[in-house]
Amino acid sequence: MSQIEQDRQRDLFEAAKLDGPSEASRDAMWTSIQGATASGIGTAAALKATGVASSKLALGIALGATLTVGIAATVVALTRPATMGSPRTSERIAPRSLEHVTRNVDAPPPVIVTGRAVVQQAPQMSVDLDQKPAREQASAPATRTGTTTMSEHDRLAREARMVSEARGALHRGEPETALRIVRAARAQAGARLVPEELTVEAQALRAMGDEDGAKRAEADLAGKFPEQALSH
Amino acid sequence: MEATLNASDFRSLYDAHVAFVWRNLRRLGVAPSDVEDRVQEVFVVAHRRLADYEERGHGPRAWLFQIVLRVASEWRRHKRRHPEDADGGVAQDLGHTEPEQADLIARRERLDQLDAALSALDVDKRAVLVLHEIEEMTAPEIAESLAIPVNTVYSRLRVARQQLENNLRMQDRKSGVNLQRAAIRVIVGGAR
Repeated sequence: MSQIEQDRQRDLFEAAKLDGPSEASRDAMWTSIQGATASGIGTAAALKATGVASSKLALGIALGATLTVGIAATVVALTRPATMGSPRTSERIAPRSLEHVTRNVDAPPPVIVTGRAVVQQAPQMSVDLDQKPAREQASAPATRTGTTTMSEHDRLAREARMVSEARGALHRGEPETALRIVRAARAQAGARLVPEELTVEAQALRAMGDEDGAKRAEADLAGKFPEQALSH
Repeated sequence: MEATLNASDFRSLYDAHVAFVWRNLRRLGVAPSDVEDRVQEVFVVAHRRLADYEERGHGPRAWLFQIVLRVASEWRRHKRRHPEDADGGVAQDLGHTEPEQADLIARRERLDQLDAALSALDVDKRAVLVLHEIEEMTAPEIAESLAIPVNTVYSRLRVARQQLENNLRMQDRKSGVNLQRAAIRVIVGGAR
């Protein structure tokens, strides 16, 4: 192997050593992992605290945690405003929706201002099973809402970027690309900009000569979001 | 790290090794769009198997890597059965668009080159190469991670390096040919 080739390989490996998730991505993944393992962590913590290794107690705690998560999910589904997303939003929030289990019921519900809609998170049941080290807890905000809101922001920012990309494609005269992007954006879990996406979809379909498809998208928009300005 | 792990160590385990898990899933072929989900899967499995973990002097990386290998293998099998996304991968590409900074783009290009070259290696050799060159694990650590003899680690490493070198050369030749073709198109287009 020549020196140049060796240097190149070293360069590639060095780049790979730096590869890793962003802070926001780490937080989002931890929240999901915590949700998926909530009953297990809660059970183990409880057993450690009391020193009682009772399998019946563990089963009871696990069942209780599961029930609490279920109630919290139901509260979210029932309290979400109808205008914030498609009717299927409440179905699509799993599995990452479990991030809400870290939120404290006493904390004020976070409000995310999107520019087009104000999304208010419902208060959640307190199932804070976080095991962050003391160093991180000291620097963390008073409530656990920061992580979740960051994750929501990330998702929303990503979706907004996709809508923006689609509009750009439409302006460049690439309606097929625009259509693919908005449909992909709409297919994402917890899509929040469905009215905007349907609007771009209708415009793209019309630009492609699919008048019927455009009308269907507009009808879909008007049907799902009758109070949205974009529907008129 | 203690001889065994318990639930209260789990957050520390995650913080210390999430980048390790992420990197290795990527190098073992998991697509950027799926890597977050697979990282979660690795840690959920790890949590479920905390009781099985035994410290043998190398920390939990060897143990985690075994889970990474299985999760990556399942992902590849799934992708073989379902090779295309419904949206043609648009969400994947856009979902992982970083701010367009020159160094980020350059680093991503290097990672793409490396992943393309690695993808031609079979997983056994790829795993040894990645653990040695990127994770800087020793041969005994790799042997434990992969449950193979140390001599096998050395032989796989030697072959993997050779194959990687060949793959990178092949990439260079292809990109050279593509550049030539592009230049010819420009010249021919200009002549018209």
